[in-house]
Formats: sequence, structure tokens, C-alpha cells
Amino acid sequence: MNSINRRHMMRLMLLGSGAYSLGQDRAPSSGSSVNLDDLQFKAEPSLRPVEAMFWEKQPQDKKVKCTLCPHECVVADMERGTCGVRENRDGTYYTLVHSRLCAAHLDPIEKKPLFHYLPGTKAFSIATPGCNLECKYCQNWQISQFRPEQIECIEASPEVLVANASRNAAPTIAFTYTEPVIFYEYMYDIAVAARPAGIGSVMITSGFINREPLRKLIPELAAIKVDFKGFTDEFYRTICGGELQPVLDALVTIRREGLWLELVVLIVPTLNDSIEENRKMFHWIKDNLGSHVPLHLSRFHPTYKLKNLPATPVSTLERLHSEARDAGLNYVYLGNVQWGHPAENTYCHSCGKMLIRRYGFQVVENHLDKGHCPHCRQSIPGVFTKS
Amino acid sequence: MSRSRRHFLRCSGLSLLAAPIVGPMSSPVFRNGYAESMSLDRWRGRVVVARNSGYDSFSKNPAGLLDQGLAALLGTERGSDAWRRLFRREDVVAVKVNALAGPRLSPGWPLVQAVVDGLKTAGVPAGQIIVWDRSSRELKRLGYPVNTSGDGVKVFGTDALRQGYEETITRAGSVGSCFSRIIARYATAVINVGVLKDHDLAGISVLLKNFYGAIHNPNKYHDNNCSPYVAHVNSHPDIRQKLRLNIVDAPVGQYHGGPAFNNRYTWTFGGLLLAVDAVAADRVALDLIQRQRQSAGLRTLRQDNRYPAYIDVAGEMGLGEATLSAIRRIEV
Ligand code: SF4
Repeated sequence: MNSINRRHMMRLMLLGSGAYSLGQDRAPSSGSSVNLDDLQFKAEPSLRPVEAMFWEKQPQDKKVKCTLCPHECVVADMERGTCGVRENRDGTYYTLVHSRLCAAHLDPIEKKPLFHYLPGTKAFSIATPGCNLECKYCQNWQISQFRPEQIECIEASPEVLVANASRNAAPTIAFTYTEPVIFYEYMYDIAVAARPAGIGSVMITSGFINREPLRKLIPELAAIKVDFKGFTDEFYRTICGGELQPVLDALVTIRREGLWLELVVLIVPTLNDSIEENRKMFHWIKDNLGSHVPLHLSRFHPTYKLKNLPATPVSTLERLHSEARDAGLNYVYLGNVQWGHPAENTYCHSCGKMLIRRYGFQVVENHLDKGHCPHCRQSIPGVFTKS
Repeated sequence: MSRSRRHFLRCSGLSLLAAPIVGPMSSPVFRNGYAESMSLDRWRGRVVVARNSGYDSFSKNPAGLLDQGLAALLGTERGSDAWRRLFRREDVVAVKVNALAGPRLSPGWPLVQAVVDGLKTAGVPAGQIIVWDRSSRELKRLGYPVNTSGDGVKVFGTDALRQGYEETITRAGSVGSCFSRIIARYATAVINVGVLKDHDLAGISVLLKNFYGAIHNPNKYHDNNCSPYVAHVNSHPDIRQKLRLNIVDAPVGQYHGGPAFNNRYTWTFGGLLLAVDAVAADRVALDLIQRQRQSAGLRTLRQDNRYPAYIDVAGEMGLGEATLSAIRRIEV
């Protein structure tokens, strides 16, 4: 395929946007009223395996160990790891999602959200199917929790993607919607191809990745946003199918390597909304990542397997916002709240004047002067000019 | 991450999500080809082991063995009567095979053909029979004649359908998945056709585990040797209410190194296992595999930390008979 045409884009934009609900246990259908001759079939998916970058052979029976993420799945021949997109074929480990796009949109960078990275610009945003976690509140479960052959995808090489991003005048390619860690090889190849074209790559991730692959990737990225799920191992284990410590380690690595980092915490009522727990998290962030890392506190809405909880009260988010500020974090935002909320805006950490006014994902005023506050000349942390 | 650690992660997740507690279940009832209302409980704990020394390859035709075994299982004089005791003309029958391991360790087409012929003797038209697994690609690899249109038996994978899986998640105990529409919407009756084999994580993958191929997210349920998840998947109403017959195609079995084919660990079994009760058949299969491991000097599956506890869970849930001593093994 040479280009992602408009029809493909439309299709990809529609994929994964259907209605969904957590059905109740239900009675089986008593009979088939379907005429089997009316069934609709799709073209057979072409799964072109590409050898994975991070895996080790195991001593017995053609087994392999994937070393890409902290699950470190040991996978028998013909089987796949927890993410469902990596397969052992005869003792060699492959990714099945290289160049298999299931979503592509041109989004405001604010939607990622990245607020201190080229504000007001667009990101050519893409995903393949699959995820190494299973958050019970996943908004994109219809693509993140399926295997690649179960979802209609189109084939798009890294070069094609970069060309499309250029054609759309996007300064950024964002790896997002699902978990880019599981399409690591594709992401890496795109990021490498995008740099000479003057396009930066940003990764929207849960940060559940091993150190070696993370360190190899960082030099190819322009920014990263990490979904910090909560501050207890219990929450990671029970709600997301992951672990806390590897994420903390990844955050420290990102900070040490100097990559621009923003954090999002989705506040889920009763599960990770305790003031005490979040206070500890805010202090950890300040002590380990610094006071300038933007923190987005985001509102939960019931979805996927967590439909029994209400949406997060805005008052809870506002209370946590002031706790985070009290803990010494300079750039704290609220997300998924009513548009125009004052906590959508950026204020200078030195003089307190408003620098960027937002309305939802739209930048309506941007007073930054080459990354500086026009009032007190304070340098504002972030990436505000294209390198 | 070690398996036990992941098991802990998964299990602790269950409690918070307040998955419905699955208790003993009532037996499904269906109408057969004699217009009788039948309870599957009638054949609970019965497993036929039908063997013939000549049946030593998946390419050989076991039609006679199948009919003979089925008659013995259901207590009928002839095989054709047996098919009519389980199926009726109006049924849409989904024949779920396990195609993962390729042609040397997956149900042979001759057996599937014999199943189709048997269903025809019960009056089920060929056009109302779907032979399926996850993907058409895997079925083709076995040499099955993939057929999505026209006359005759339909043969295709869930992934071939434009809308292969249900749009909503349904819960079965601790499992939350989208089920294949083949089983959820189109079939009124299901036949499960597995093989006699070891499984790296699940201990064995014979019949109960085969229904991981009916959900969209099997990879999320491999912790703790797939227990209790396999049992919970099998408690889903679309499986529980529709599953009528279980067949293990076993000219050979594999006692180690699964789920892929590994010639080094195979033995000639030369037969079929037949049961209405999948739990009982899995329990017998486990016994056969364990014995073979023992004679090969291998550790037991329990010593190997991969005992398939989901069989016991399925028994406790009332899905079938999991106690070996309570199972009536009928040799043919
Ligand atoms: S990337 Fe996938 S296969 Fe690899 S360790 Fe993580 S979940 Fe397992």
C-alpha cells in the first residue's frame, strides 16, 4: 500500500468506535434464526510476522522468553504472550502487528494529553491492536483487548506512515489508543524514519516496559506521556493486571534520560481516589521526577468492566489538584471535566500569570514567548519549538 | 515474571471485581430427533474409550469406530440411533475443532467427515453444520476444505466473519469475554472435537480448554494453569446449554511438550474418547496422559506445577464428573 487514502482513514476512525457494554450473564440463544448463507465474511487477514527485538531462547522445547515488558512471558511453540500479539513460531519469537494499523486519526496534541509539547499542533495518531495490561476501565478495549487477526486492519509501512503525517502537516506522530509497548518494533521503525522528515514521535503509554527496550527507544522519541494508574501495587494488580514497581522504575529512567515527560492519573472513585495515597504519589513524583513534570488528573467514566462505579466527582479532582499543588508540583491539570475549567490552563510557576488558555482540546490563547513567560521571562518547562 | 506471581496478580483481581460466584448448575435439557426432551445429566460420568489398533494416524477414517463408540455411550443399538438421540433436523450444529498444533496433532478431516455423516443420519442438513476454530488460516493448514458459501458444510474460522465476536462482554464467573458468534448466535448445538495432548500452561488441552478458542481474549486467562478460567468459560450458557457431544480424536496422544506437536513425546493411542460429559472425558484424558508420563519417567503434572485444577473446579461447579473413581469408563 502506498498511502493511507481518505476512505481508509475514515474506516480506521470508525473502527473501535462502536457501542459496547458489559453484558450480564445471560441465557443462551435458544435457536438460530440466521440463514447461514447470509453471513458476511471479510478478507483473510495477512499476518506478516516480523522477528521481535527483545526475546531469549529457553533451554527446553523451543520455548522463548519475551523480555520486552515486565510480564516476561515464557511462551511455548505456537503460543502467544499475554498481549496476544507476539507469537512463538518454531522457537523464534515474532510480532504480528508490525505495519498493521487499526486506528489512525489526526488529533490535537492536547488530546493525548501533552500540554507542554508543541501546544496547539496536531499529532498523527496511530495504533495497532493489543495491550500488555487489561485495565478494567479501558476506553479503547475494542482494539486494545483483541488479537490482531480479530480486528480489521490495514497495512502501512513506517515510510507510508511518515509520508502521511507529512502530507497532513503533522509535526508529530503519536503512538497511542492501545499500548505502544506491544507494537514496539513498528513504533521504533516509525520513529527512526520520522526523524529525518522533521517529525517528532511521542509515546502514550502505561510505562509497563523493561529498562533495556525503554532505553533503546528513548533517543528516538520527542516526548512521552505515561498513564500512571495509581500508587499501590494492589491497584496495578487487581485493576490493571500489572505491577507498580516496574512503572516507577520506567519513570525514573525516562527522567534520567532527559526525555520530556507528562503524567496522567485517572482517578477512579473508591479504587484510587484516597487523599492519603495520592498525597504520597505527589510527593514521590516531586522527589523523583521533579516539580516541573506536568500532572493531569483525569475523570473516570464508567466503561468496559467497571460499569458499577459512578463518574468521579469534579470536587474530588479539585481537592486532589490542590493537594498536588501543595505537594510542590507546579503544573497540575484536570482532564475530562467541563471545558473551560480553569485547571485546563497553564500558569507560570514563577509569577502565576496565565500563559496558555485552553477550551477542551483547543488552545484559545498562547502567550508564551519562545518558551518563556512574557511577564517575568521565566523559562517554562516543556518542548515549545520544533527541533 | 513467574507463573505463581502472575497467578497472584490475576486472582487478587478477581475478588475486587466481585465476579459472580458460580455454584452447582442445573443440567441442560434439549429436544432430540425423536422429539424427546432429554437431560444431558443422563450421561454424566460416562466415557467411552473406543480403540482399534489400525487407527494410528489422523489421516485414517474412524467412521466405524465413531458409530460403535457412540452407540455404546448412549446405549443404542446402532450409531444412527445415537445421533438422533442427540440431534434433530432443525439444529444448527457447530463442530469446534482444535486446529492449533497443525495436521499432526489436530482432529483429522476423516473424523470430521464422519461426524458430519453422523449428523446427516439425524436429519441435519449439511448446510446447517459449521466446522470451525479461531481462524480459517489454521483450518486450511490442516487441509480442511474451507467453505464460506454455497452448498454443503460450512468450514471457517471466527476471524473470517466480518463480525466474528459479540460486541459486548459477557461474564462467566471470573472470565469476561466476547464470545464467537458461531457459538453465541448461530449454533443451537455444539460438538467439541479435541485431541489428546499436553499443554505447557494448562497441563492438558483436550476438551474443556478447547473453548478458549471461542473467546476473543484467551491470552488474558493463562495464569495459574488456566484455572479456574477454563472451568468458568465452560460454564457460559452458550457452551453449557448447547454442548451435546465431546470427541477426542486420538490416533496418537502427546504426553509432554504441548501444545505444539512434538514427535518425541507422542505415543500411539489408536482410538477415540467419546462423552456427553466433557469434564469426565478430560479427567480420563488426564489419567491417560499422566500414565504415559509415568512410563516415560517424567514428573507428574502436579510435580511440574501445571496440574489442570480447572477439571476439579468444573466438577465442583456441577459441569460434569471430575472424580476418576466415579467415572464409568466403557471400553469398546
Ligand atoms: S510484550 Fe507481550 S509477550 Fe512480551 S512480556 Fe509483555 S505481555 Fe508478554
